Amino acid sequence: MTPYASPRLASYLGLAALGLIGALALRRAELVVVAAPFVLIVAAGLLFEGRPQLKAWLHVERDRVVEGEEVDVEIELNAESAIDLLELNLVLPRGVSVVAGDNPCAVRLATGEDRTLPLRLRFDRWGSAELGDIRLRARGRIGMLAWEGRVRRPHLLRIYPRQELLQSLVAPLDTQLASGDLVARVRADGLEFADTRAFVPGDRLRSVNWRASARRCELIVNERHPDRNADVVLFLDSFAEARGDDESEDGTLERAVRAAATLAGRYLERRDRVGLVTFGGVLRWLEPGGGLVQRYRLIDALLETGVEFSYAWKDVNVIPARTLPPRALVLAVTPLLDERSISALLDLRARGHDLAIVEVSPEGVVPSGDGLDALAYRLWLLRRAALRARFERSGVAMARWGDEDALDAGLEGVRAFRRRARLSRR
Amino acid sequence: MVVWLATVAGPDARRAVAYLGALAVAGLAASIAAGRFEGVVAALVVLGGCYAAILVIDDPPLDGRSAVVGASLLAVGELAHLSLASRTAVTDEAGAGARRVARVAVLALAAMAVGGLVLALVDLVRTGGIAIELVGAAAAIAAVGLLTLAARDARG
Repeated sequence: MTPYASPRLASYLGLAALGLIGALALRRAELVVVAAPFVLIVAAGLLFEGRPQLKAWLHVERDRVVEGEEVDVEIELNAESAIDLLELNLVLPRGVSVVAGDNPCAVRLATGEDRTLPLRLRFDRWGSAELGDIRLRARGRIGMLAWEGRVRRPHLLRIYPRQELLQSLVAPLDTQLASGDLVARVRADGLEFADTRAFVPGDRLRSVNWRASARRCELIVNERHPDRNADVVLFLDSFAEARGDDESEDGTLERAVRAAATLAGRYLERRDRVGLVTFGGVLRWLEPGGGLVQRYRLIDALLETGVEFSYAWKDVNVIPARTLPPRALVLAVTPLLDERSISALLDLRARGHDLAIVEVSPEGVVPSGDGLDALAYRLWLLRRAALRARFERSGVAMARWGDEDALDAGLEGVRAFRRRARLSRR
Repeated sequence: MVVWLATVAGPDARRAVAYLGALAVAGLAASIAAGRFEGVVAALVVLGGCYAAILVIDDPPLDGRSAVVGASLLAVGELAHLSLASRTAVTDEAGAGARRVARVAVLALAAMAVGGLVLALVDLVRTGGIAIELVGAAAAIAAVGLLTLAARDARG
């Protein structure tokens, strides 16, 4: 630990020197008596207070939490020498707050004393949080010197995004070949009844619809839709985000990641293959896959997402082709703020991808202002409406997801659009 | 303390003590309000100046109240430091404030005892003439030595 002089040290020495000089100048011994306590307290502080010997550890209840959960943390102290005042601060990353316990706090430790300081922390923002940076400041009884130091006991916590309320998903236009929960449009072996047709050699006998055959006096067989899965690629726009003045409120990126994590989880539960493209200053991708491992991969990839500023122009060509398989549903989660991601999405649609957009609306985050600001705000809203219309003209289903709405309400806009407008193949 | 000093001052020194004392109290209050310990030191200097004014104007033979003045100045400085230190966001243990105030009281009593001892020594050697210069010079050298020691400790 590094020693620092208390502001009293120099001040008291100055006072003592002044008193002694005054005693000499005025030839009054009483001023020596006045100065004596200041000299003695400084001398005692410097001579009798040694470097404190202290050990500290941090214990964290678990290393994976869901956003909004609380975790118990303990700071364990062991003092090898007495410390009259130990000020202690566990540095908390952004989005972590203390629910119970005191941080920073001050304690007094006797020689050899072990002390455990419990804290209950709440993790309000998804991501990775490193705990374990403990700042210490120790003082003796007189306190002329303070020793400052830090203890690093790093604990990496992964805070998973909480799930948004979601009842139904956006169905892709096409299914893949593997089995799943989706009813394919093609006819083959399956459970869902599709149609009947005349028996042809090679048809299985169990497919014969005996009632229809009796009525038509010829063999009629049932046709069925097979159960297939789909490929879904989540396209997360991380070029820019909109954030209000209040740091505790979520920005568009936080909500977008939460939505992407929810969608990924739900599609994977349906046995679909889910991939991820984080399109921003740093391009990250994950090829479509299924299962629990893929779910953790996706969430770990999402936790690394951040807005990295970049001037570089990026388009769809930088995305590896295998990340966007044919007949995959590309579900973009974007605030539609950056021209690069907008043109990339239009490009994807132009290349024939089945694209749907969940717009994480920044309109509630941006204040409308007064006067010219209000006018500019209205113009901005009009430009955004024009952009949405442009996407819809291209056959892209769009949904606005405001900060007050449930994700399900936003996705309903996509589902409604896709029910009414059939995509043309190119 | 200012009131006490104004009370014990002679008629000639009373006005000067009152003015200086009022200045010291105002300076102390302003420093504590502003959270600046430097202002507290300046107020302590002015308070010491009040007592020096009594010594110069009234010219008592050997003032026994100097021990009380020294202890009181130390107590004022320590209490002001406590007040400034308690403004941090650090949450103290229960009873820590009372313990620190009690420690200041003990320090003040110890300072008074030390002052009385020094006063007795001064009284003892007073007839020596040069003794006061010797004591003063030794104390000044000791203060400079302590300052050097403190600077070395703070650096390393």
